[in-house]
Amino acid sequence: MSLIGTLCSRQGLRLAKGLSLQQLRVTPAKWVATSACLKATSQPLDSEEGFWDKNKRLNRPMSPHLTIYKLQLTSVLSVTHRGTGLALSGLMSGFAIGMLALPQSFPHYYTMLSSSPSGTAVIFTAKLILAWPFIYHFANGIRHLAWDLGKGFGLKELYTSGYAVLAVSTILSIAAAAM
Amino acid sequence: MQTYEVDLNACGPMILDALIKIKNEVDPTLTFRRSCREGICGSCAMNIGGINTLACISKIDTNLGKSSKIYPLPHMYVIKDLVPDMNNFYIQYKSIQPWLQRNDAAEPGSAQLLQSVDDRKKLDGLYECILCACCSTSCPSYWWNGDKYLGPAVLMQAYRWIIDSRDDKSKDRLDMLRDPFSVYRCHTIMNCTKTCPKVLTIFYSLINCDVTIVISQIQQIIFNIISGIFMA
Repeated sequence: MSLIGTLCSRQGLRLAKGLSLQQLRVTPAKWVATSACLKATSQPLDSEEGFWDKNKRLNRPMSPHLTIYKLQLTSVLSVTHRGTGLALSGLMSGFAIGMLALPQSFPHYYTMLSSSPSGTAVIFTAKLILAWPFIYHFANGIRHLAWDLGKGFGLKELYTSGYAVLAVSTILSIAAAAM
Repeated sequence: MQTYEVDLNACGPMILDALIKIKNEVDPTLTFRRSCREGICGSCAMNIGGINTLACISKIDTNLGKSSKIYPLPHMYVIKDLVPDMNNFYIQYKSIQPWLQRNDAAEPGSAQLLQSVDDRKKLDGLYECILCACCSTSCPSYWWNGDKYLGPAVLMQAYRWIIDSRDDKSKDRLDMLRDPFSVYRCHTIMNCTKTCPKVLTIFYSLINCDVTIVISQIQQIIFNIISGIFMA
């Protein structure tokens, strides 16, 4: 026991705190400056200068955000919903404009594609890549509609419905790609 | 980023214990906010291991192979070390007028304002909020629009007063929120609910704010149409 204890104490735990580069290079003069800032902020905010101007004047660093915040199922599903939405609408307009711009009509390209010599694996993957964003966006859209009705906001419900949407969209898009 | 080593055998179990130990024994300049050390004051809100939470109720990871990374609350102006400038958050809180407002001119404290059990129940899950700002600063939408979007914590408090049966100013409160930014920058990312150290279902009140505003807008439109018919 004591051996483990000593080992533990020797290794210890490394705790790191967030510090801006500016604060790392702290000289005594700067340290005084920082304490002066601290003193000033303990008073109520000067309404004439305001929050944003004051922070800009003091050149305070912004704490890190996107780069350090751990990915959560909640945020990943949300950004995927937005990404697939953008991709799908881009695809729709791109397809429409492309069909207008191309010399031949859609049936011509369709027969060209379906009679192409590339293997079924390639076709399957291409179909999957097309199907998944659509089905995911559709399924998560239903989740959004449930929220709009005021249902499913508990942490547990959020996670259950999130995983369900992922599972359903994956299974359905594999089924669609296999057709 | 600065690294400190802490002997876990001579330290309390929580991250705040380690921070206090570092401040006492290693680096007295290390600056952070703390007060109650039991998860009720909300002072020690910070980003620990990538997630916003309270240092005092966050256990130190005992895996010695890994170091714990601690940042101030995300996308905030930093005053020093782990201390962000919370003033914008407080100004926004003040803007929703978080106090009881009545139509009658009765002297405050002259009589009890009674409430049914069901009406009181509506405040459960809302009044517990300690305004630590973990949720608001976990919200990417609040990061990008923190000047105009009120953020989950403040909206939840707005809702807390809107549904209070003793408050008479629900309509005025909803009108104050009726603009493209205050409520509608919520994109249902839900990081707020995930990160809340008091495990409150923040989003429920957000969407209800949303729904209540829409309903009152529809009522307004119907009212306008009806009054238009009578005027004509």
